[in-house]
Amino acid sequence: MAFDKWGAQTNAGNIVSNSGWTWTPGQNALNEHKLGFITLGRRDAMLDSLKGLNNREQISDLLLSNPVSKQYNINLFSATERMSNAFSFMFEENQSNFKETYNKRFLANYRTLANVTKWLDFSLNTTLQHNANTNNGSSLAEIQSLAPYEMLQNANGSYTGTTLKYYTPAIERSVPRNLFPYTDWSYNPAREINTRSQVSRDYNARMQAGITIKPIKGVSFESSIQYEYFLTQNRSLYDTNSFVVRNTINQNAFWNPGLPAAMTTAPILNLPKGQILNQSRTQSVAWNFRNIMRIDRRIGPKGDLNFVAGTEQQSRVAQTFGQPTTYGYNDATLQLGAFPNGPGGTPVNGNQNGTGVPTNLTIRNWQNQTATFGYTNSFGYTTDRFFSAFGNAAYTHDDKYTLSASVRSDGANFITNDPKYRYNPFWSAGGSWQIWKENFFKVKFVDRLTLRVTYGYNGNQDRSTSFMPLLSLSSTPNVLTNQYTASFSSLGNPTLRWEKTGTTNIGFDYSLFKGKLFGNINLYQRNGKDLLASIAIPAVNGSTSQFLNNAKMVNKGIEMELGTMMDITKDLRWRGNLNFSYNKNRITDLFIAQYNSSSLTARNTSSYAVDYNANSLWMYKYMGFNTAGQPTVLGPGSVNFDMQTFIPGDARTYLDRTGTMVAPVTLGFMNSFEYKDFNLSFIVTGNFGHVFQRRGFNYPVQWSFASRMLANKFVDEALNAKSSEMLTLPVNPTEPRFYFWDRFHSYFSYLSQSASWIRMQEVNLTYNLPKSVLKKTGFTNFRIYLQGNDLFVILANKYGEDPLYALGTLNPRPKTTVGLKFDF
Amino acid sequence: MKRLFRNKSLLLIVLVATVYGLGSCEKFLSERISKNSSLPLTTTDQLTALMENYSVFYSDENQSWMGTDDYGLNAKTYDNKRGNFTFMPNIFRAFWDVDFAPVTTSGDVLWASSGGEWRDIFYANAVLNNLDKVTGGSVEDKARLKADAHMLRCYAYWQLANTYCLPYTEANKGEMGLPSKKLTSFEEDLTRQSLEKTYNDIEADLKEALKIAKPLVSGGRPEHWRSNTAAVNGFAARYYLNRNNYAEALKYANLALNEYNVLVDYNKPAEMYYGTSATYTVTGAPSFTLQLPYTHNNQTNLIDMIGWKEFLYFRMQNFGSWFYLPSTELINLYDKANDRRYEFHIVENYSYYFGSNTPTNGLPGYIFFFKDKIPSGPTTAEMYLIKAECLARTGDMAGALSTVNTLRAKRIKPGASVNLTAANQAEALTKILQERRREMPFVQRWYDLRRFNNNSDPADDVVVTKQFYPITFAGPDVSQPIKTYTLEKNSRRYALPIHNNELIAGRGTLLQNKY
Repeated sequence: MAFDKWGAQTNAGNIVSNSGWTWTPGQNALNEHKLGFITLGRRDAMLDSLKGLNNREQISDLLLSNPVSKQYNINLFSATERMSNAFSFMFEENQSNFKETYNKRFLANYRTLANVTKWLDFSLNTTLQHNANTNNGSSLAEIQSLAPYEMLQNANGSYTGTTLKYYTPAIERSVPRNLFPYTDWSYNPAREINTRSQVSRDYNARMQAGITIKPIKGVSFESSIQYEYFLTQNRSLYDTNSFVVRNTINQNAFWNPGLPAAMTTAPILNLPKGQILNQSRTQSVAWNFRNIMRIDRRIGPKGDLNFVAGTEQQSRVAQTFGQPTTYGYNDATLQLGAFPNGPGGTPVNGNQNGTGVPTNLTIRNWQNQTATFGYTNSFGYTTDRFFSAFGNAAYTHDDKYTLSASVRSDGANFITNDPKYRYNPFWSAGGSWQIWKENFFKVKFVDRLTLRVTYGYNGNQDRSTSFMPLLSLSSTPNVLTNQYTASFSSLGNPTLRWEKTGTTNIGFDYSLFKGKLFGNINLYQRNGKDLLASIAIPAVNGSTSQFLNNAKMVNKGIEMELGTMMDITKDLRWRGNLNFSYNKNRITDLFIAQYNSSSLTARNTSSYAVDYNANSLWMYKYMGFNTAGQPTVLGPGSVNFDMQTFIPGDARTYLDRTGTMVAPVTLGFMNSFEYKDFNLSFIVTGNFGHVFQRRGFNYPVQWSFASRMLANKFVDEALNAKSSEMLTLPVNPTEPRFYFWDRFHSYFSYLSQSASWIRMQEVNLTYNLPKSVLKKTGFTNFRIYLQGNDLFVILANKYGEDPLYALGTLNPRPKTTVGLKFDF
Repeated sequence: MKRLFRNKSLLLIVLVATVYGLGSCEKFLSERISKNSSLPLTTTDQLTALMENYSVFYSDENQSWMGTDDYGLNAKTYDNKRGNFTFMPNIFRAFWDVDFAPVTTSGDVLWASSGGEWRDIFYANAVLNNLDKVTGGSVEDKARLKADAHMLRCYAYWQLANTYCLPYTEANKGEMGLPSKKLTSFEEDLTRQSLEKTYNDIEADLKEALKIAKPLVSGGRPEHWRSNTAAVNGFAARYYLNRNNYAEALKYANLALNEYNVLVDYNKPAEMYYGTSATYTVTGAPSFTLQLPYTHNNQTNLIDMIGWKEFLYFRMQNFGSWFYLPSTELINLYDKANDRRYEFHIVENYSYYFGSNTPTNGLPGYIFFFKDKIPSGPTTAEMYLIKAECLARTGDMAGALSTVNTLRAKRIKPGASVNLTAANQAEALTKILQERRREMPFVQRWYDLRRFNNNSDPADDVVVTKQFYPITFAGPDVSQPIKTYTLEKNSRRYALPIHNNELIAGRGTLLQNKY
């Protein structure tokens, strides 16, 4: 029993200090007895009554739902010699895993293509979309925070009050709830999901028009323009019986729990009773203008020239609008409330008087602490602009030898004092040789064999940094000084450059045995240099790290594709495709002043270390308990550190690097068999050679706020483990820093497991109605299919944990679909 | 060409499109990314908004106070509950360690963090570097910004010099000072200049700051979060006191007090009172309620801090571990029955908060604002104490006592114990220095120790000794016997070591102090 042990925070059950300590009902019973509020007998009776309960079924009935998707499509198509029109309409309904969380999507698209004259084509494409995303349901995190015996409904069907929001005994004991605006202080997720309407609606429109001019044979100009308007409206309405409303109004009423007469003193409302409404919207307007010229001509008797050049301009303006919360709202009459005592803020002369009564400008809440209410709008306005010019030329001689070159320059609205810097030219050059066409190459089983070689540079730019310091302005004046403030969003990077990646690619395309075996092989090496990385700089510069173009990284790899298409019997046809890739990554240059264990174990870009794979998994080495009964971790110089502090020193020297978290080897295998009117296909994928951290015991701590002591399923593992091999529960009765163990316990190298997996991604069986039958029905196509997704996965680790979906997260269940599809 | 383009208007479209695409992109791409963020510095209003951002400047996590005799960490209090003292820099700094402090994982917040002093210097330099380039604003606005930025830089440099460099004396002139940082660029030379050069820089900044015309009080409200005449005079008084130049210190303390002399009256329940209390369960005893001053109420809301009416310049000493443990020596300086500062700021059994909840191991805590902050910027109280000390040191005993008693009248319960008396000048000085320690523990003591040991008066010198376990890389080695640590008068450990990360990041340009 871990209650009140191991440096646990003790709960005095005080309304001011402890009201937010959301412990489980079991912890509450133990604590109330300890504090002397209930007898031992009452405590044991309470614990006994909880023992037999299990809320699994109620959670499933009241909070969860079967995820179901429905989709309806209508497609209309008509075409003449000069013009084609296509119209499609789609409606989709998706129910999530959670009750009351679902969305509806509508999509309409109209496309037209017209050959106005022989040398002029015109195209138009219009898309309208509307999504309504309703998000009233509970969440995985909330369901996980319920104790397994914490019921949602009583035997008579009424809702229970959970302990998810308060230390409920203190509320029941010390708050005159009947005097508060709302007398009901209970929270129940199953009740809450029906008391709110949290909906976000998207209204999107996109229009695209283009012309293609073909003045002479082999030359064409394309010009197209696209316009987009996206609008998202978010609206959250909370009913008066929702916890959100009851809690907000009650907690913001002024009451003084410290007064002797608190239990008979009615609180003073600072917010009006009624519904609460939150609204915001985002809007984005974008356009894109593209011009391309193509030349495709024969030069001389044996030469072919292919030339493409063009420009593209893009602009996107994104705006956000936030509205202040509306209190005391009535959705039926559209009436709303005012702040009875103003929105709170600063009294001009600092102090309040000593009686605890709020002075004119300061308002106080139910804990006699200052409260303020936002009453201002908020706005955002950002512009992204891009300009590109590109050209690409390829010359092929004798249908065998091709030389190609391309250049490209991209510009964006970076902040710079030298406009020239906004552009950077990138280029690539390459050649290919169709060996199979050579006269000397007469290999019987080779249908086709081509060698390709390319080399080139491309680049990338981070728009958040700049040569010079950049600042952000506060949107509202500081509440205490009534002045606008600014802070630096970037301290500037005077040596900022484009990130560059040089890529060398050598490949073969092949087809053998009359198409029975075909595919390609690619070898590549990508040398990234001037990559932006957070580099340690002396703090004298105003910051300890800065994004500087200082990192170098090399990726080397091979990609292979193997395909086949053959008739096994007259009626049985097999199509197969096998993909294989291998990648090796290494950071070759990076300057880090000190490799701290906390950053190396962070599993993001701050765990980059020079000479290692960028995705290395760095973990602590568990060293067992020492003589003082403290678990220890390997530290620098082979010294074992107990788990009471972070470990200093160069973390590369004492952390275990158990592998890379990104699979170096990936495999994809697709097969389809056609037999008469049936088609059977399946997709298998696999990732190999990487590691992941499996879930271990969670070592729950009795701490102040949401420290619900809920042990996860690995509790037996921790209880039964050999303490020399795996972290057990504390052995000392007093363990003042037990709470600090979470800095280590999920980073031990014994949790590192092979992350390899093979997954049956999809199996599909389709039956096509034969053409002879179709003729009579008027359909051009009619098929019925049965499809299974995520059917099974084979894992290399013995704990049955899928590396892609860690335990305790939602992972996709096997899904089967039956479908019908027909075209007119 | 005619064959190529059968229609002239089409030719025009293509040409216009191409020319438009290529020709106007410079203007097209110069559109700013956002209206309210990622903005280049272009206007005076922006610079003003930077200087108004007191949240960046006001809090200083200076660890030097841990080395003073105000701090009660020793073997006895450590053994009381070791879990209270697991912040390693805390232990390293308390015993003037120079071996492990530079490699602790926690880093050094005062020197190297987003809220550290070099960041303040960056803000000041951004203002000073751009003042001539920005548009808008009056001459007065720019003059105020200039003085304001010089004050910000001066205060930061002074604090860094008094933490990481040896005390400035004739003998120490050639010792290592600080890098001279005047630009926002990262390319500037980071070599540590001589201590003399660093102090010349500080004095040059102070001279510019003293040109400020803006008074502390505007529209009835003290605006102490930005520079003002009282703030700069108050800081000048502190600066010259620390240089042991009592005449100049007295001059500036008087200037500050002439402008603003408001004190918080601890005897008035409307000005100093208890706020929200906290109740803790105590093993084997009834639960215990800590009475905490109202200034403890708000952790993140700065309303009470900004409202503290003794500030001339708004600065706070911050301690992230939340436990200013007063030494027995400090506790014994207070008149427990009559001193309101003991009543409100020394919270007995404060350690219950950390779970040390057996009656035998309750330790007191010094509480000012919330659990972590103590006013450290120049205040009216500090001005009274500087004035009293300078008068006492320069022979005006009666003036000195009456000055310190003005402050005591607002701190001590009315009665006979309010007024300090002294038989001679030395006694007066001793009592004034004790008052200074009672009034400003943890924030001024480190600077005081440095100046006491380097002035012409040997009577005020202090050798600090503490009892503790031997310290290792991983913390105290409790298996070894307790030993005595001593900080000699002229110990080179009066300059705290710079963190190793900085030396490595400096790639050889930044050098460690010599010990």
